[in-house]
Amino acid sequence: MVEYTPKERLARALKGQPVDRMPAVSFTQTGTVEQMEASGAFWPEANEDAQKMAALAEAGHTVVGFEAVRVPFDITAEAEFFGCKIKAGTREQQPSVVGHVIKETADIEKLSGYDINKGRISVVCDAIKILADKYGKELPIMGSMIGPFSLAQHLNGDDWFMNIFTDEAFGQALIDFTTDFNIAYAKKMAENGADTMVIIDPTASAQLIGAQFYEKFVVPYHRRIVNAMKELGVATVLHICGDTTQGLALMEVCGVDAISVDQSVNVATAMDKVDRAIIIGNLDPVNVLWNKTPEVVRQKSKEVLDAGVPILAPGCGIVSKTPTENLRAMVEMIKEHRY
Amino acid sequence: MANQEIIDKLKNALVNQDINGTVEATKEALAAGMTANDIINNALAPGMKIIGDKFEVAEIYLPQIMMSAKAMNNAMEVLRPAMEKEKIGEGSGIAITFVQEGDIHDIGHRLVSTMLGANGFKIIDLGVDVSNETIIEEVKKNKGKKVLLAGSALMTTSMMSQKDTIVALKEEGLRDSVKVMFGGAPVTKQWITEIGADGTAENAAEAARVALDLTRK
Ligand SMILES: [Zn+2]
Repeated sequence: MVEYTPKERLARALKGQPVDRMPAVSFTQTGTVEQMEASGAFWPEANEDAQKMAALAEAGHTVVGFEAVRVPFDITAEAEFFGCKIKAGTREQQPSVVGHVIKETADIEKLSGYDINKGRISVVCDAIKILADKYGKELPIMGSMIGPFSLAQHLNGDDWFMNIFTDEAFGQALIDFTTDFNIAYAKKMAENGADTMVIIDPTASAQLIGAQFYEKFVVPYHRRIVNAMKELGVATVLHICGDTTQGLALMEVCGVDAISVDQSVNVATAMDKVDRAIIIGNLDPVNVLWNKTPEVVRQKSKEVLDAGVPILAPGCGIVSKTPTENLRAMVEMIKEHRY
Repeated sequence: MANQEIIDKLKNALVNQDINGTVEATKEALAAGMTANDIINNALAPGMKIIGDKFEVAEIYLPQIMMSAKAMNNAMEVLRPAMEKEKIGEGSGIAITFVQEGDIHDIGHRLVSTMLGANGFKIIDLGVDVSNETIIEEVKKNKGKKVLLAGSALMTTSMMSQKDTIVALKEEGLRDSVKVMFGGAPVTKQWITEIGADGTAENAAEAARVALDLTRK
């Protein structure tokens, strides 16, 4: 059988086309302390500096053996770009959003007219360029960004959940705004060489907001991003945390190529719930990849593979303290797997 | 309007997330001569129970619960002077909620805070990645009041620091001034007993029931 390059293999696998074997990639955060030590690129600097960001992303390939490179390692650069207060990250901890900048429609207007070439989002784009120049022919170049619903929550705070209920006009205006931003940002990542776009939208969970709100405030906006990426030939993957089982059918309506599910989802059930989308998942990043042995990782990998998962990967962002040997055990299991 | 009608009106306003309706109906109830105690026990508490039940069967979600919590708080504001007169204190009490270690998975914490708010607790949300010093400081600030600590742990490591929270409370002589409940994926009943906390819950609706139980004791 033909042997594909990792780039071709992932592109085909995400489209459901036949491949020689399973691609070994992580669609969620890859940075770990051991990779930082190996590459000399540490958090938090690797979140701020394009060279370091690229170096740590590269370690995912050279140290762990992932057949892709992926940036960034957190989901706060977007909110930071719009001026949200950020609690700084550490070597082991990602930064988090602690302040919000939008209360009402007028605040949205104040933030429009932004320059996409500024801030940390521009560092991410630069890192993509560095990685694409070095690996673009061979490896998939993955860009990731927070999704429009969760970005709206970062900008608006927890009131966002009430506002979609009580103030539809504001809700639509804000999600329109974040979606426009997402599209512009994703396009720039694609221009710089990203061929796969991972949309991480943790709070856009049907489990949290229910199907009605998900249909109204999530589906059309994910669709716009997915369509913009399709035009550029960029594959799309959607990751939403938590038990998304009941929401999966709705999640694929936006036309996304693949859906990454976390460990609270049963993979076999998930595959039944979708029509077309490729299911990715779902080794527990905490209770398996981080806190267990390579042996347990192999055992758990086998269970998910036996359940028929199209692409085995971590169920969510890899924990920074995860031992490399555990990640390698997962990568080996994936590479040995034939469909 | 007969008392029962007013009570039903208030309960329905709460269940239907009518944030102005609860204010109006609470005022009517007071004007009709009902005590704050009766209003809470006959209208607000049963209304909150309905909200919890609806959430558990996935009939309502976070947006509705948050609005009901707001409707509840509005009613409590109106009741406050009467409550003081009747000496029934801070409603259900103060709930200090937090996540011990930072993580983007604060969904459980968010739901618990909201459900406790919808059950009459005044919420002090310390957010994620909260140190024991911050928790102790907040408990000290509220000493003498009815205080519930509700902490979530998403990972095994942050679960370990729940034990430290209890130790720190004891060292500061504050253990008896708070009820402590911990939840989160790795937390078991056995762990709660082992570290000497007061309770745990499987989900946000249960958390509210346990919290009310604990603070009534
Ligand atoms: Zn996740």
